[in-house]
Amino acid sequence: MEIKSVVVIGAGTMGSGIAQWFAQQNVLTYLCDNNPNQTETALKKIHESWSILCKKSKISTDQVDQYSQNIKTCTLDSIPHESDLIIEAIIENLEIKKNLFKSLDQKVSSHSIFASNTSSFPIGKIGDELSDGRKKKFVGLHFFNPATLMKLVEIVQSKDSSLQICQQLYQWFDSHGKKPALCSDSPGFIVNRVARSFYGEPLRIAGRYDEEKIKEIDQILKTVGDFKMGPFELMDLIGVEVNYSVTCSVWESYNKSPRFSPHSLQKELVDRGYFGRKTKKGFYQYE
Amino acid sequence: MSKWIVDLSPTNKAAKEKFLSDHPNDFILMDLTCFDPEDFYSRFPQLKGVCSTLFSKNGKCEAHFREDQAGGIHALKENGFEATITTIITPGFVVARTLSTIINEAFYSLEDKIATAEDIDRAMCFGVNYPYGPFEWAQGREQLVVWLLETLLAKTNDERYRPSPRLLK
Repeated sequence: MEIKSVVVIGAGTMGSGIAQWFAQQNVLTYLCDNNPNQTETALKKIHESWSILCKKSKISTDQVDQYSQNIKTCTLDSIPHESDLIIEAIIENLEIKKNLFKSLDQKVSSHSIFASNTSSFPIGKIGDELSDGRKKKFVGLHFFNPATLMKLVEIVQSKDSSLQICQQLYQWFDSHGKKPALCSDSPGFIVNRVARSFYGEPLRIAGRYDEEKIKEIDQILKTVGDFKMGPFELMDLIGVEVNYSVTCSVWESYNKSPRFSPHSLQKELVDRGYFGRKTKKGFYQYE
Repeated sequence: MSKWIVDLSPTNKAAKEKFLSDHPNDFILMDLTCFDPEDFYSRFPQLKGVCSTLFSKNGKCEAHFREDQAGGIHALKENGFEATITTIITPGFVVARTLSTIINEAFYSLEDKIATAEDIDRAMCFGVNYPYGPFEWAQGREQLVVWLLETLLAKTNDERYRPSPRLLK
């Protein structure tokens, strides 16, 4: 498989990170958003990031020039019709995503692969109104933040996605320094499902709010378990309410299996508005 | 300092109980990763310290002592482990208890054909920076994970600890 050009729709944190990474692979990359100001702001940040990397001698000036030539902006009306890959990284709203792909399906070449960066919705549901030919070329490509640094891409195969295309994407990402993982179209894919216990079990060990105990659990998981961050400091960083919402979503998707059930301590914090670092109060207090 | 007898063996509950019964007057430090340390403390006064070494990949372990902490730390050091003193003495302590549920979920995912074991390991290492993938962690320790999950299931009566049929195999 060759990917010579890619369109990334959605110039938020994920979309701009994904676009920056593709530009760094010498793929002609179009960053697109329905708000042109957002696209310009994202592009400026990408250039600033390359400039900082260059100052730190992580990349050369030639690379900055090349990467800069690789990235362009476009609008939804001016999306290049012959792109090899179109990745959606817009707001997590099922109807908006479905409508976007439905309208693109009619506009762009049948050759283009469509992908969603969703973490919440089944790929099959997002693509259920696409033409039969396109459904085979519709997959999930779930990147992790920051997309330029985090190596994992979950390649999600829906019941309609072509296995051959998924395998070709796997090889392509593998040969470009990412660590792809192929998974089926199920709630939470791999990471958001398996990682639930990293939060759920320490919450049960703590039982109720006790800052000393929470500190001890974080410390032990880092020192003895070799984890880079403890679960409570990580929840504070991600956002306690964000983590709680993912847990509830996975729990409901798996018919309220006790393996995923949310913990009352987390709900208590969310109800009190203790969302973590962003509110200066979470499992820990921040000045 | 007391003369410690150290048992770090990955044996079953009955073997642990027999070992303690055979040493009624000794000063014992025992790895109780898979069982309930509080229950053992209450039944065996000769048990002076408990620890969890069975999932350690870096030579560090969790330990709790009710007597002669300095001697217990030294005894662990002589057995190749650096002790992190904990007040939390639940089955699995902190690390193994957390890991056992992550590993169990990875086995459920495998059973549901979500992905291959290799891709699940890769996803957890490169998506959320885990030091090891769940299957890499479980390698050779599957029976220990089952014992620990069964202990937690019996203690809490919470179905979240029900071992995956794939793990039981």
